[in-house]
Amino acid sequence: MTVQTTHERRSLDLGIRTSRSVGRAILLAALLLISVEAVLQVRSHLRTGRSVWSMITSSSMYVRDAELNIRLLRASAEIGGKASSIKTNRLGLRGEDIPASRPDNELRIAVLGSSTIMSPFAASNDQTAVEILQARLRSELSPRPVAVINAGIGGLKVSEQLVLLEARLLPLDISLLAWYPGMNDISCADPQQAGKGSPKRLPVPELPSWVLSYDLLVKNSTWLRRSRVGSSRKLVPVFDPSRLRSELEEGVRIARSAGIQVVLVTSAASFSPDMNAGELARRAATGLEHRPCYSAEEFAKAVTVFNDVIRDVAFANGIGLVDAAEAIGTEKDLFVDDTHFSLRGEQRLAELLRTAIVSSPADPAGGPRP
Amino acid sequence: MTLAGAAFIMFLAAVYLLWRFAIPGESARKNFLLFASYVFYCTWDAHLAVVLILTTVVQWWLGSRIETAASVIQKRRLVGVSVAYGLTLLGYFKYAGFFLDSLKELLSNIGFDTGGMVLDIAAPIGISFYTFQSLTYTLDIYRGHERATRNLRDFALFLAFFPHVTAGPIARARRLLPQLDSPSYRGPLEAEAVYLLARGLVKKIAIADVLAAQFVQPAFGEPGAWSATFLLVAVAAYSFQIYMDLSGYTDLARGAARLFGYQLDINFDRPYLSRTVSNFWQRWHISMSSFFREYLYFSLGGTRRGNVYVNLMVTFIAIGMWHGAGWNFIVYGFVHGSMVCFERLRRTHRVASGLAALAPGKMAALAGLLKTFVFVALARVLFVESDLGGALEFFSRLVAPTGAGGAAGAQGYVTLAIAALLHVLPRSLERRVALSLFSLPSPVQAVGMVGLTYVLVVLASDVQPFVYFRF
Repeated sequence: MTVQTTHERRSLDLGIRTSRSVGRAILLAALLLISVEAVLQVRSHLRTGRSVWSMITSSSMYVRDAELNIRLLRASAEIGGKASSIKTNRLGLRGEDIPASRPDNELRIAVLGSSTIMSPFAASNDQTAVEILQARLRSELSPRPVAVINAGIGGLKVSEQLVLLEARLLPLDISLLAWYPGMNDISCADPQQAGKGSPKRLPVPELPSWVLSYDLLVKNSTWLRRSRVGSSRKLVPVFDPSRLRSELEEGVRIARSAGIQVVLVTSAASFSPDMNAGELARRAATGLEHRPCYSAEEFAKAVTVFNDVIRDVAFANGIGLVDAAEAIGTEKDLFVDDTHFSLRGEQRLAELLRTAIVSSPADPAGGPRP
Repeated sequence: MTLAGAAFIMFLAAVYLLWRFAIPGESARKNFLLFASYVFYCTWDAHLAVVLILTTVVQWWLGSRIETAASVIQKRRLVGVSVAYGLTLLGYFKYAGFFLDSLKELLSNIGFDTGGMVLDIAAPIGISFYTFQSLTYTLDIYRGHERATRNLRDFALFLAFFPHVTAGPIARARRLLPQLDSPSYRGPLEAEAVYLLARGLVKKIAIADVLAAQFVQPAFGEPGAWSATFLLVAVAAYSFQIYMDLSGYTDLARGAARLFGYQLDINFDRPYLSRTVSNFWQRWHISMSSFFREYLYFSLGGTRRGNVYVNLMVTFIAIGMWHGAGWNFIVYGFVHGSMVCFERLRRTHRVASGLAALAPGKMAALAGLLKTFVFVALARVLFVESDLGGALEFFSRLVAPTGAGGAAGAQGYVTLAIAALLHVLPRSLERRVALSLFSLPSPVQAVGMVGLTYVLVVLASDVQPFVYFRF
C-alpha cells in the first residue's frame, strides 16, 4: 500500500520541458569558457611570459628550492614578455649575478623582503627600488663599487626570509641589510584543517591555481563583496605579533653576529585605518582577496600593529629604522594596488633607503668594512 | 565538498558523464552511484562513514525482520529496536555533550568538582538526515505502508545518495526506493535538472552568501556595534538568508538527483507567505516538519488521542532539539509550539462562535502574513546564536542599542530586496521565464550560462558553508 502525505501530492515537477537538448548548450558553454581561458593564457604569456604553457614546459616564474624548502625565482632566467621582464641570477633572485667574494672596497647591500621588494609590477629590473637605489649610490659614491642585492621573493613570510638570509645572503659577505618584511604574515588559515583531531577526508577536486579567468574576475570585483566584517567563516586570522617580534629579533641577531649592519623598514600601504570606510575598502581590496577572514578595518589595524612591531624591534635593538609607512604615506599614485609600488613609489622607496644608508651613523657607505 | 562549490560541480559532471556514457546497465549504474556517494561522503569524513554504513546494515536487516515477524508484538519490538538504535545514535553524537555540560553546570552549582568531565564528540555529517530517512523505512514497513527491500545495495543507495546525504531533503523510503527500481531517466539531459542546479547556485551564492556577509555576520557577530534599525533589518535578512541557503541546497540536491532520473521531494512552498505559524510549518522544510507530523505527532495521538496541545508542544520541542543540542533550540521549539497552540485555540473559539477559522479580507491576510513573518524572524535569533545567552544579548541590543549605523552596502540592500521579490514571484511566471530561456538557440543559452558562471564566480570567492550542515 502506498500512502502520500500532503507535501508528496504537491507537484514535484516544475514543468520545464523542452525539445531542445540542454546538453548541447552546456557543451558550447564549456567550450566558450575554455576559449576565454585560452585567450587569457596567450595574452599573459605574451605580456609577462607566465602562463600554463610556462608551467608545462617547466619555465614557471617560481620554483621551490628543495634544499631550503622556500620558493625562489627560477634561477638564471629571463621571465617575461612585452609588458614586463624579470631577469634572475643564479641564486634565484631578481637581478644580475653577484660574485661570491666581495671586492675589498665594494659596498654590498642586500634588501630582504617579499613581493614589494621583488617588484612584480616593475616592467624591468632597472625600474625596481633596489636597482634605482643601486644606480643612485653608484653615482653618488663613484668610483667606489656598489652592489645592491634584491632579496625579495613574492609570498615569503618572515620565517622564510630568515632562511633566505642565512642560506643565501650571509655567504655573500654583505655589509648592510635593509629588511622590508612585507605583510605576508598577516594571513588567514583554516582552523579545522590546522587543528588537532580534524576529520580524515578524501581529497576534494580544486580549480587549478593557474586558471586566469577566475583570478581576473575575482580581482576586478572585490567591491561587490565588500563588507564591514571579513567575508570568511571558514578562515581565521593567524597574524601573531609576538611571533613576528621574535622572528625579526632572530634575524637582527643573525645579521649582527655576522658583522652586518641592519636597517629595518616598515611596510608601506595605500590605506590606513583613519580613512573613511569606503575609501579604505577600495584601497585595501586587493589585499583582502588573499585575506578573506579580515575586514578592511581589521586589515588596516593589523598593518599598524605589524609596523609598530618593526619600530619596537628597531628601537629595542638600537638599529636603524626607515619608517617607509610614515614617510611614503598613502598617496594613490605611489601604489598599483594595496601594497605594491608604482614606478614613482619604487623611486620614493629607493630615495628613503639611500638617505638612510648615506646618513647612517655607522655609515657603511663611508668605506670598506673592517 | 559543499554542493555550491566548483569541486561539487566538477564531481557531479564527472559522475554524470561516467554514469551516462561509460557504465552499461541499470544495476552497474546503481553500483557506480553508490560508490560515488560513499566517495562524496568520505570527502567530509572518511572515519565516520562507518556510522552511515552500520546504520544501513542494521536498519535494512531490521526492516526485513519487521516484515516477516509473525506477530504484531514481535513487529512492535523490532520497530522499537529500530527507533531506539536511531535515537541512541543521535543521542550519543549530537546530545551527549550537551547533557553532560548541563549536568556539570548543575553539579558545580551545588558544590561538586566537575573539572575532569569532558566529552568532545564529532557528529557525522548528515546524521540527523540519514537517521530519519532510515526510520521512515522501518516505521513504514511496520505500518504496512512499505515493503522491505531484499536488495541491500538499493537501501544503501537510498540512505547515502550523494545529493541528499549531507543536508536532505529527508527522503521517504516509500517515495525513493520504488524509483531506484525504475528511474524516470528519459535519455537527454533534462532542462529541469539544469534549471534546478542553476537556481540552487544562484540562491546560495548570489543571495544567501551575500546576505550573510552584508547583514548576518556583522549584526550577530558584533551586535553592540550597530543601530537597532540595522539589527532589525539583519533579523529579516537572516530569515531570507536561511531560506535561500536551505532551499538553494534543496534545489541543488533535487537537480543533481534529476540528472540520474530520481525525484527528491520538495522542501519549501514560499513559507514567508504564510498567514499563520501553523501554516508556516506546512511550508517550511517540509521533509523535516512532515516527518515529525507523521511519525511523532500522529503517533502521540494528534488531534484524536490525548491532549492535542501537549502533543503539539512535544512535537515542536522535538523539532527544536532536532536542530541541535542547546537550550536555545529547546526554547525555539517551545515558542513555536506555544504559538501554534495559541493559534489552534483561537481558531477553535472562532469556529465555535460561528466565525471563519481565519479573519477574511485582504488586510487581514496581509496583517497575518506580516505577523507570522515578524514572529518567525525574531524567533530565529534563538536559532542563529550558538547559545541562549547570545540570543538574550542580541535582544538586549535590539531594545537598547549601543552602536550606530549599519554594516551593509547598497549591494546588500539590493540583494535583500531581490530575495523578498523572488519569494513572492508567482510560480507560473518563473516557469514561463525558464521555458523561454530554454527555448532560446543553444549558442545564446551557452552565452547565458557563461555569463551566469562568471557572476557566480564573482560573488563566490569564499562560499559560506550551508547553514543546515550544522544539523
